[in-house]
Amino acid sequence: MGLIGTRSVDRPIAGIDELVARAQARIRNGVVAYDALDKIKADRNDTAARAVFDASSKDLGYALLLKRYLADPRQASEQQIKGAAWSTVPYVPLLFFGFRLMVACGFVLAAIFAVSLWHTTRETEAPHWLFRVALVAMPLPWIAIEIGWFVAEVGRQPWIIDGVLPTFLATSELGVIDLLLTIAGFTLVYGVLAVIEVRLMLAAIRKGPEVAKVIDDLRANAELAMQPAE
Amino acid sequence: MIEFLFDYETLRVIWWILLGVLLIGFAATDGFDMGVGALLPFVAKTDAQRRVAINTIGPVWEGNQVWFILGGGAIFAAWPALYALSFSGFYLAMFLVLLALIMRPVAFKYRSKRPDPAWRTGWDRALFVGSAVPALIFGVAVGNTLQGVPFHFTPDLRPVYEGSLFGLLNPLALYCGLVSLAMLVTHGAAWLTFKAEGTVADRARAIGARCALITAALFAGGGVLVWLGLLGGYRVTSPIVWDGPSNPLVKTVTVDATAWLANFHAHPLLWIVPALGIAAPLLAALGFRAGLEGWTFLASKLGVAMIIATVGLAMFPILLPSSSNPSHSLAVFDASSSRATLRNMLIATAIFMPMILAYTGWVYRVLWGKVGEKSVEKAGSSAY
Repeated sequence: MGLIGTRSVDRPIAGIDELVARAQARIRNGVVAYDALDKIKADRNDTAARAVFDASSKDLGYALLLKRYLADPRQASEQQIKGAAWSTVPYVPLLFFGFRLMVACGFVLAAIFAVSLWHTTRETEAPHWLFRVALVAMPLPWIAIEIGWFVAEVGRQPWIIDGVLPTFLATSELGVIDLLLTIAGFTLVYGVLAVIEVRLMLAAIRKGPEVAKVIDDLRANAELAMQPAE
Repeated sequence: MIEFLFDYETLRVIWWILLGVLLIGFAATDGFDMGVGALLPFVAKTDAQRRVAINTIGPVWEGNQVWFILGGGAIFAAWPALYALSFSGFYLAMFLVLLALIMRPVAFKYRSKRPDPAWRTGWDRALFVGSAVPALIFGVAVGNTLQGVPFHFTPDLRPVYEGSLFGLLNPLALYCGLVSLAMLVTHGAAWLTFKAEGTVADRARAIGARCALITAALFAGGGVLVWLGLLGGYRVTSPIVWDGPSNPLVKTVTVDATAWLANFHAHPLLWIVPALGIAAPLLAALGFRAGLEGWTFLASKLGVAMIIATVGLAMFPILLPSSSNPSHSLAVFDASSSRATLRNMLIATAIFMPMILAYTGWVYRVLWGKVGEKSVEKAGSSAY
């Protein structure tokens, strides 16, 4: 946990309340940067504003979090600053259970690999249940990847670039209709292609592997040879 | 020397050139397989003929298409503002092109999986649409780029596109689409003449000779449209700061119908490029008739390169003009990514590009030779 959270073995992991308090301080400092940037936009040679901006610019992204509530972060109320600070906390239950589910998938797969490896070293054929388990476990890597994706993407909210750009400011100006159209279009096209693909796969499975055909041919030849000559 | 290479302004110009190189690389390689796809119903009537046409590009179309991906990647990394604006601004247009482009690989892969004629004809149609539509639309995109598209930036530098899908399909842009289609069909015909045997090659030769003339005429016509000031024209009127910040809001650009010719007037040597854009397709037309297959293909390739380079040179230093707020136009000096990004990517490009070119060249050498009905029949199900 410490390795993932702080990339160290001895640094303590901050609790949520602590993190929110830090975010609140950074939002206040970010508003200072926002104000300085606005002055620079009005007068590109304003050296005083530039000095203020250079000192506080690392927190500018935190001020942008306030844009969720109002257009000008400088006008934010105490309530809104608190709200923005709490908005830096992603949805914890999903992360908590999602992460554990992903790791569980990994352990199950590792166990199946271990048992399979053990059986391949044996002379006897592996038990039937192992094949069944392996078949059922086929979607597990995919499920683990999907959950991992959710953990990573939900976990870094509300940021698209941590501390720099909030996700809600990083979206394009596209409307709902554009997005619905393309989602529907892609679903339709990939749906049709998936049906075709699965049908082709089933046909290939029905045909069976070439090896089996070779063995069948050999067997047929052998049987032919063993038949008594008339 | 090396220091000079890594100046911000030099890096920006180098990446502008590389953008052109990638676009030309895409059109010169993927262009001919799109041309073949668009020619498929006309040069190949029987299944055996279609397999000949498809198998001339079978081993290379996938590699060729990567130039397109590389182009998108280079725009993302080197010209992020252009990427953000065009990919969300032209969202539905890109979606339609993408649908057509999805049909192409699927058609290649699926058509020979079943011998059923209806199945194969269906995928051949998908291949035709997936090749002809993008070939047309890429030209339409160039036409819109020349004319300018309506967009502006908010004070926070968020791009806002104000146009619609149908605004992109205006007559002048469609004319540019025809230039692109004719050019790539010629290129595809040159490839088929060079690479295929028998009926397919003969039909491609006849079509190619005509299409090469059409390409030269359409491109020259495009020049007339520019000269008449119908295809836009934008001029940067404020002093250009080549190593300034990438902020498209601090310059002024005015609409000027003669602006797209200004670079050529300033540097008359540049006229060679559009001149070759007309001469090379004409040479290709002669080559088709004379049966000089290799030279025809080279002439067609040169034509493709020069036609695309003409557009870039005409617009320099502007990348994408805004028709509604000209001063917000994207330019080489204010729409690039940071100096460190451009520098690191240039180093990576300098290492990997020669490798890619080397193995691509090797692949084409391995695949040297003609594809005919007999060789396709012999290859059986291991060919498309």
